Amino acid sequence: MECAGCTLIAFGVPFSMFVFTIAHHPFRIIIAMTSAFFWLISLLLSSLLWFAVVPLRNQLAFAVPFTVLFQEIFRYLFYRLIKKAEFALQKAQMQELTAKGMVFDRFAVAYASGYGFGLISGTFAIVNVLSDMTGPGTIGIFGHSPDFFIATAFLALCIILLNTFWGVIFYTSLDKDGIHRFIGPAIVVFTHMLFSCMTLLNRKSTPTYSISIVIGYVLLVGMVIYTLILRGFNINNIRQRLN
Amino acid sequence: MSVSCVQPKRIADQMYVSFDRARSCVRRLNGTHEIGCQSSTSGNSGRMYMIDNDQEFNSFITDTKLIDSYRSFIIALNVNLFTTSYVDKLMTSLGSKLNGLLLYLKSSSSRPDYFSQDDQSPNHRYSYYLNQTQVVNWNPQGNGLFFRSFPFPMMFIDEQEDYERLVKFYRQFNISQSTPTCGLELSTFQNAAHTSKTCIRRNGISHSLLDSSETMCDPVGGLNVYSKLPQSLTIAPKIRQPKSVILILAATDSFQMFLKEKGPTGGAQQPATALIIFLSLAHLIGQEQNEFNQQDKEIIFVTLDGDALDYSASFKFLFDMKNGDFPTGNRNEDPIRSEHIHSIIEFQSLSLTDKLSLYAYPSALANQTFIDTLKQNNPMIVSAMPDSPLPPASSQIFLRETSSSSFPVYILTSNHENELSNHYYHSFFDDPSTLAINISSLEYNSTTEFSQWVKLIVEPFAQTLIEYFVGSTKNVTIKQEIINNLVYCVLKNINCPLIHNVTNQTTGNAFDSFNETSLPFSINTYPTSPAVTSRFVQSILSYLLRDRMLDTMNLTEKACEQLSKNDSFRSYTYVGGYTPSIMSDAFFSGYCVRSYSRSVSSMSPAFTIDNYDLSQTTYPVWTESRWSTISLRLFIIPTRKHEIVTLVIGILLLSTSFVVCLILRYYTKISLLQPSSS
Repeated sequence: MECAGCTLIAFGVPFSMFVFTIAHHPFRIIIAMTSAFFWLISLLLSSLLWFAVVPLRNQLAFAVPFTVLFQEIFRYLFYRLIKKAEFALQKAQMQELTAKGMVFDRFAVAYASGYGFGLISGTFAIVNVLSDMTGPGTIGIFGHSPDFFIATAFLALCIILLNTFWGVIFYTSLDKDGIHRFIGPAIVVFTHMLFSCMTLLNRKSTPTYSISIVIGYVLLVGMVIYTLILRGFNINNIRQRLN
Repeated sequence: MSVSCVQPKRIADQMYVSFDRARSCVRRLNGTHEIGCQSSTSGNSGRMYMIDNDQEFNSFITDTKLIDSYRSFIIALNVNLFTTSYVDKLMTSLGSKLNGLLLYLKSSSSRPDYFSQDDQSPNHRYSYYLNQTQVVNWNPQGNGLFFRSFPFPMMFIDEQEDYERLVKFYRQFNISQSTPTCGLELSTFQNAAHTSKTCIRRNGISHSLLDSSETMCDPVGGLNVYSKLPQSLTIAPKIRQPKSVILILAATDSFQMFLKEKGPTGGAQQPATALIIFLSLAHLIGQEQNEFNQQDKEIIFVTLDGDALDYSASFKFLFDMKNGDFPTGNRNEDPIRSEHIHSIIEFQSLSLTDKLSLYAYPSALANQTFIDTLKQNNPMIVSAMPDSPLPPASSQIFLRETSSSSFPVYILTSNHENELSNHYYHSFFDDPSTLAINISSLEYNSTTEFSQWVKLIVEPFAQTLIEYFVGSTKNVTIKQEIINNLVYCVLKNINCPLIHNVTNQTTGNAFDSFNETSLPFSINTYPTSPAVTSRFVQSILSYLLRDRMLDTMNLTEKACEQLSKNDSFRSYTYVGGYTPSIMSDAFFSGYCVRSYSRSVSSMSPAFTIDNYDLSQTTYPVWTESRWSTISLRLFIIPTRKHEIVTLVIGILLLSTSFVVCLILRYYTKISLLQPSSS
């Protein structure tokens, strides 16, 4: 029962997002899958680095920042790939496709790529834990905190959502001119690093999960607001939109 | 990426505590029933509840609130409470909620006074025994739990460290029902089910796409070994005289309800004591072979492997005898049949007692002179009333299959007023401490009270055999050293100098993997069990009965091989030599050993007869199940509240997000959520 509960916590919201924003759009599905693949390659590279540096294998604090950097580098590389695809699509008979309703919606693409990144990242974060949860017992015999599983699920959910918005911020900022080209990605890298290193606090036997979870969701709210600002929203626009 | 674990290893390592040294009860089948215990494929788990004494037991049974609040229980029960009444009470009050039983022994000094799961009348449950109308309870403290079938697994923790770990975790977490409590998982899935016939039939069925079948169970059987003085052979055209063969019997197997891969099997009083006396007697007969060789009588030493369960090995032995297969091997040796047997002597269920009982049956055939000489030479022996019921012994089958009309049997056993002196009959508590031996301080040459007692029994016995069969009175002695060595090898470490001295290098090296292991006495199956016990006994027995004339000859290995080429009845090996048993003055670097021994499969005839229907009751058909993993794990069970809260939060998140997205799609114009085809 605990396993089912944690799976729903971690993947409930992303599932709804998938059903309503990605499921009906084949193009977005492809983008999300390809983005997930890029995340996997970044994980491969970070694990090669971890494997190579033998003496520091037990020090997570060494591996984590590099993992974050690799992920952001691959996010940028995926952006370059999308740009090439957009260019190629534009050269091909774009009008025909537009008539059929197939528009290259930059925002949707950024969103789908963020979502793909996030989904695979969250899955890797939680699936091992979920599989161990299927046994008859729960954590605690050696004194660990019993909230471990719920905390992991909420953190995984946070990661998925954060990644989605990071994707939007990153790509929207790069599409703009001027100072935004640097501020957006910088904020993404900074907040990603902040979130990951904050979770390093959870390595104790009985950590206070509330710190990392609260900060994670505060960051999420911040990312949502920044996204809206980037998309050109202010209070008046919102009122108009909703009506 | 996020970090929420303590160390970059599997979470499961931090969730479960395993106990690798626990014993478990396994499943065995016979023609009509299944006995033993088993778990489901993925293991049986439940809330752990520890019951240490009668008071706690009664308070648990009556605590219906506690019993109702959990779906399943694993009861950790003090071994002193492992009796039929407690187990039955537990099963009735918990019903299907009893998912497993874990017995524990607090410390080696707190073991119960009596512990036997065999029947009160051993080997008397089915029809395979000599019918003597009067039923005697030889093992009155036996609870018969071994022969019952339990729907749940049972395991036993006998190491003190494991018990202390278990108790520590239990006390730490067993505070109230609102905090997480300890749970246990017992995983002892057994492949076999129903009866031997069904299981053997299933052995051949392949359930996968490949044409391979998985074996579910194996027939019980090991090796029956017999050996005699190599000079006493009746080869064609010489004809064997009636009543010219004396068989001396001992068992080499036992059973225990709880067994583990690497651990002592018990069997110190039965059959090790009898076996040590048996081997020491073989040495004495070998030592006095010149006297025996001049007679026309043969003394054959026979060990039976498989009699603990309905005398399967004896049935096989007699089956072979009826078919002219005893002795096996060269056809020119005249077969021995029941008319050739003069008498049978058996050593059975012996313990360190100052009185031994001698049973002779049937009284019409028993030779009173022999009995009187025995008693005269050894005042410890007391003879039982004529025709009194026999204790559980292989001889019963020899009588049964020959209608008790061909030869007498003499059984030497330790009992007092029809009660065996062994308090731990067929259980792993039957260890050397019951023979007043301190096993940790026992050395290869240690003289113990026990080994001195063996000397006091064996010497008069051999003397009696010489007086009765040869006719001369002679004082025979055995070196104490030899008995000490045998005791050490059998009860402490079979990889001892003795076994290396009596075997050639190849055979001797096979025992290296059993270093610091005592001779195992358990149920052997064919073909899985290695039957190291029979090989050990055969090597020593054949050496002790060897042709001692070759001890005086300095032969090379080549010369030994040359001798073997011309002799198809006896075997020749080149060994280092066991000095205490060599009587000559000169000692050589190697000796050629001329001996006669045979080992035969001891599986019940039911498995070897063509087209035998395994549901017939002519012969016993015991089989033992196969299993893959046996494990015992301890963990925390989450509280109901915690589980439900987690699930509810999950469902709420899913449904709320679904509803919110739905609203946003149909009531706003956010392009992201609108369905389209891009």
